[in-house]
Amino acid sequence: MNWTYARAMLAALLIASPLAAQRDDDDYRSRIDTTVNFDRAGTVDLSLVSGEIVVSSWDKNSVRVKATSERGVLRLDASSLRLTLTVRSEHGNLGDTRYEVTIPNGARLIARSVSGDIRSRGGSEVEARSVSGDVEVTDVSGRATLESVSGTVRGARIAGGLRANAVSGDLDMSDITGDVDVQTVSGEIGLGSVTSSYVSTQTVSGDVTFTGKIDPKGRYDFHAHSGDVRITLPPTLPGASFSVETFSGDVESACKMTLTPNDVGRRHGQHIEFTIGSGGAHFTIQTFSGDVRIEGCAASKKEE
Amino acid sequence: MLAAKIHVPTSIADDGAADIALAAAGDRRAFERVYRAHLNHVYAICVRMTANRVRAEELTQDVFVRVWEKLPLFRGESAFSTWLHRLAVNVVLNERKVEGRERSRTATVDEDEGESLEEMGGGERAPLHAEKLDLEAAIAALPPGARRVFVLHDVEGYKHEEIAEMLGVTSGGSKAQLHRARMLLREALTR
Amino acid sequence: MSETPIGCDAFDAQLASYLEGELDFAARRDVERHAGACARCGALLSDLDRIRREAATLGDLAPSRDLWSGIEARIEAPVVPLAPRGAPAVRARRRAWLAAAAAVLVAATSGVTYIATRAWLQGKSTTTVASNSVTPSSTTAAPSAVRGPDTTATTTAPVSNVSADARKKLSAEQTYDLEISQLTQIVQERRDELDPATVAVIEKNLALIDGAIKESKAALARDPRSRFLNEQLNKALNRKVELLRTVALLPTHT
Repeated sequence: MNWTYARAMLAALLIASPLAAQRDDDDYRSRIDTTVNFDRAGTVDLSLVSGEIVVSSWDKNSVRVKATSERGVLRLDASSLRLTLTVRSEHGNLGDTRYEVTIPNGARLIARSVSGDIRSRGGSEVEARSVSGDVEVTDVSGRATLESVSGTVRGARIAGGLRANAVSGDLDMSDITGDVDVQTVSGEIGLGSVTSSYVSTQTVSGDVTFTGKIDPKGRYDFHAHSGDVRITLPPTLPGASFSVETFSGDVESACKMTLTPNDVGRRHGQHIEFTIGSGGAHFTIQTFSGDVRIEGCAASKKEE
Repeated sequence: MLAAKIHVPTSIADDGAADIALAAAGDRRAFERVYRAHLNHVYAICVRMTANRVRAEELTQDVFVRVWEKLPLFRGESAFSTWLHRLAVNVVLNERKVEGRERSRTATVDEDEGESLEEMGGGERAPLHAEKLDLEAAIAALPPGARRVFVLHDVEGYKHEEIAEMLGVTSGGSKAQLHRARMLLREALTR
Repeated sequence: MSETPIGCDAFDAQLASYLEGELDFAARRDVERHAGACARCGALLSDLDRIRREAATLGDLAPSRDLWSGIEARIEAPVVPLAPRGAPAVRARRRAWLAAAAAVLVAATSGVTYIATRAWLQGKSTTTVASNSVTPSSTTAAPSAVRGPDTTATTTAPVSNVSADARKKLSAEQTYDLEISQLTQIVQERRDELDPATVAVIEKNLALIDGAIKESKAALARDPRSRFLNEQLNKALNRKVELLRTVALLPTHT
C-alpha cells in the first residue's frame, strides 16, 4: 500500500528491531498476537486501509496487539516509546484487516484508515482519521483530533479539547471539556454537554446544535451558510451577550432582543445584538440563509 | 414560548444598471438619475475625509464631473458603486495633494483640526473636553492622517494594502494610523 | 495551546493585530482570554471593537444644497476626450476584505501545499510550484492604483514586467484562485487513486461550497460594503481550499 501522506508527521524514529509478521495459511494472509513492554507515555501508531481498528486501554506498561489481515502483510515495529502497526499489499487488494490493540491509559494514539472504521476508548491524546470509515473515540484524558470525509465522527468524554472535521459525515460529540473546534461541509454538528470557554463551529449546509455549560468569560462562535443553528442555553445561565447575523435566515429566540439600526436599502440581512442578564460570555452566530434558534434565556424572561 | 419570528426582507437593490448604460452613452437625464442615486454616499466620503462641508460639496461636484468623463470606460466588472466610491476617494486624495503644495508655505498641520470642528459644528467650535461627541463629530476632530485612514478603513472598508498605495505610505504605517485613530476616538467618546 | 496567560503589555502589543484579524488561533484566544479576565483590557477591546463596528454602519450624508446645477454646467462644456487607456480592471471592494484572510491562509498553509505538491509531483517532470509563487501564464499582475488627476484602479502590464515584490502583492482573490486551481489540478489527477464513492462525496460537497461562494458573491454585488458578507465569502473560500487540501493529502484506497 502506498501511503501518499506528504505531511509525514510521523516524527518518531523506529529504534527497536521489528517483530516479524507471522504467517498463517488458514484464514489470514498474516496475523499477529503479541504483547510488548511499553512506556506509559509512548505513542501507538496504527494504520490500515479497510477493516477495523479497535483500541482500548489499561493500566499496564505494555501494549497488546492482535491483528489479522485477509490478504495483506502486517508489520509491527516497536520500541519502548513508539509502536507502529501497518499492513501492506503484495498482490493488489488487501482485503479486510482488523486490529485489536490495548494501550496504556496515558499513551498517545494515532489511528488512520481509508475505509476502515476506528473505535477507541482511552488514551491521553488521540488522533483518529479516516476517509470513509466511521470514527468513534471516547474517554480521552487529553486532546482528541478526529476526522473523516464521509464517515460519521463520534466523540464522548474527551477532557482536553477537541478538534473534529468531516466533509459529509456527521459530527456527534458529547461530554467534551476544553476548547472545541469543529467543522463540516454538509455533515450535521451535534455538540452536547460541552464544558468549554471556547467553541468554534463551522459548516456550509449542515445543521448545528449546541448545549453545554457556559463560561462567563467564554467565546462561542457558530457559523453556517445554509445550515440552521440551534443553541440551548442552560437555565442557570447568569448572562451572556449575543451577536447574531444572517443574510436571509430567520431568527427565533426566547430572549428579549434589541435590533441594531438597520439601514434598509443599503444593507441586506439583519444583525441583532442583545445581552441577557449580566452579560459575560459572548456568542457570535452567523448564517447566510440558515435559521437561528436560541432557547433558554430564563434570565431575560424576568425583564419582559 | 418563543418570541415572534423576524423575517428579513430580502429586498433587491436596484443598482440602476440601465441608467448607467444610458449615461455612458451620453444621456444626461440618465446621468442625473445616477447622480441622485449616489450623491449622498459620495458626499459622505468627501466630508468625512476632509472634515469640511464646503470643500466636500465642491469635491462632490468634481467627482461627478469625473464620473461623467470616465463612465464609458466602466466595464461593469464589479458593482458600479464600488468603482464610483474608489474614484471619489482618489479625487479627494488628489485635492489634498494640490492643496498641500499650496498651503505648505504658510499653514501649519493643525489648521485642519480647528477648521473642521468649526465647520462640522455649524460655525461654533465644539469644546473637545465637554460632553460626549458623537462618532461623526469625533471623526472630524481627528488629526488629518489618522482621520483619512480611519474613514478609508473602518467606514469605507478598504484594506491597508490599498490605503497604503493610495496615501503613499506603508501598510504598517496605515495600521499604526488606524490604531491611533481608534484610540483617539475612544478617548473622545468616553470623556 | 498557550500555557501562560498573557499580561496587559502583551495584550496592548497585540491588540491592533487582533482587531485586524491577523492573529492565529492560539494568539487570538490568548487575547480574548486576557480581555475576559482583565477589566481594563476588556473594556478597551470592547470599546475599540464597538467603534470599528459603528463606523461600518455610518450612513450617507446629504449636502446642504443641490449640487446638480454646478455639475450640469461643467458637463455641458465641450470635453476633450481622454486618450483610450484600454480596459481598466475595476478592483472589487470586497477583494480588499479578502487580503488579510488570504495572507493568513497562505502563510499558514503554503508549506502544506508546497509539500503536497512536491510529493505528488515527485517522479513527474513538472517543476515544483510553491503556493505563493506565480506561474507566468496563469495569472495577471497585481492591480495597482495609478495616481494622478484621472485616477481609477487599472491593471498593470503583463507579468513579465512585474518584479518579485509586485508578485507578492497578488490580490487576495488571485491568491485564493491560485491556491484553488493548483489544488484542483492535484485532485483531478488523483481521482483514479481514490475510492469512487469518496470521489462522489467530495465532488458533491465541492459543489455545495461553490454554491455558497456563488450566493455570497451575488449578495456582495448588491452590498459590497457589507463586512458580514465579506466574511461569509471568506469562510466559504477557506472551506474550499481546506477541502481541496484534505483531498490532495488523502491516502490512496489500494
